[in-house]
Amino acid sequence: MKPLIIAGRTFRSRLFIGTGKFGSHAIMARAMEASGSELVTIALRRVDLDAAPADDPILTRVDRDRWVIVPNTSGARTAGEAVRIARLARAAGGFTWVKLELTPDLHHLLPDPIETLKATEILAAEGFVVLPYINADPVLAKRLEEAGAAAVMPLGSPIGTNRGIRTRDMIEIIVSQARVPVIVDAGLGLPSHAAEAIELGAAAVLINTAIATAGDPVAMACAFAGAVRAAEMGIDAGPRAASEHASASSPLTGFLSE
Amino acid sequence: MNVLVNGKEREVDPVAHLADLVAVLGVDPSHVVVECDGVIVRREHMGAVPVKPGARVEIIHFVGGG
Repeated sequence: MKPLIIAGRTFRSRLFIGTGKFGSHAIMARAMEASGSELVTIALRRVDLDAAPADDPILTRVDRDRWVIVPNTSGARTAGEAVRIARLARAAGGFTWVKLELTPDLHHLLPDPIETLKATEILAAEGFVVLPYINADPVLAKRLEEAGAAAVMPLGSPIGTNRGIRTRDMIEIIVSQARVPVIVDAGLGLPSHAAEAIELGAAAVLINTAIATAGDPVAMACAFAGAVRAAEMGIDAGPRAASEHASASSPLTGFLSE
Repeated sequence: MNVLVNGKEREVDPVAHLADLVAVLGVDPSHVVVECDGVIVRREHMGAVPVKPGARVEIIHFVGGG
């Protein structure tokens, strides 16, 4: 596979990790380490002023020399809110990468394509590296690319559902047309789902729930890393196309009954 | 004086500037970003931004997310 480069940065691992839902930051840090990943997402929220901090500040657990840290805009329902969150993240920590996540529908958490496009235009013009989370819509993916998105992040299935790639046909079209990396995000519940995404031609996958809520998140991070690596090795090994017709693996001559 | 912090009305002793308000609220400023009346205030500038009664202040930090 060609090297994974986003906004000039080369990634050795095609596995990206979300940091939500872990039982503790200590477990999160161990899972991150085990994953071999070089990119993690984080979120911005109001400080709870009436409660003691539950854990160390998350940024004390992520070495910025080793990981690209990508704040997301979760909680935003409009382009304006997403832009505000991105600017806050930049002011807070100098973060210039942003995962656009605009999910006004709180039931299915599906991303709003129109607000996402608007926010991409604004933030790309401000110099952000914009990674928009989208439904698997090939037309939208192209429009976002033209608007300056550094990658596109189509969903496999709704966030946190572990249902795998239910958008397969559309992801294939997105991959065939994209000139920016395609990162399959959301809904991947098993290592095999991640491998499938890479085999479909995705440049990377973003996994959060499947690792963070596993019985053993560290072991699951290893499993996803192995699956992604296996799929990558398989592609490099030159797989043959699927066929309608059977083709014997053993010689068709010299049968004992002849 | 009354200020609206993170969407909630609070009665605090009058403070000179944002850095004082954050300290009064018991927040470690090193891991937060503050917005005052819709304007993002960089950490190093918090000591120079006055807080007026009725100010709308957001104190935000990073958490785990996907």
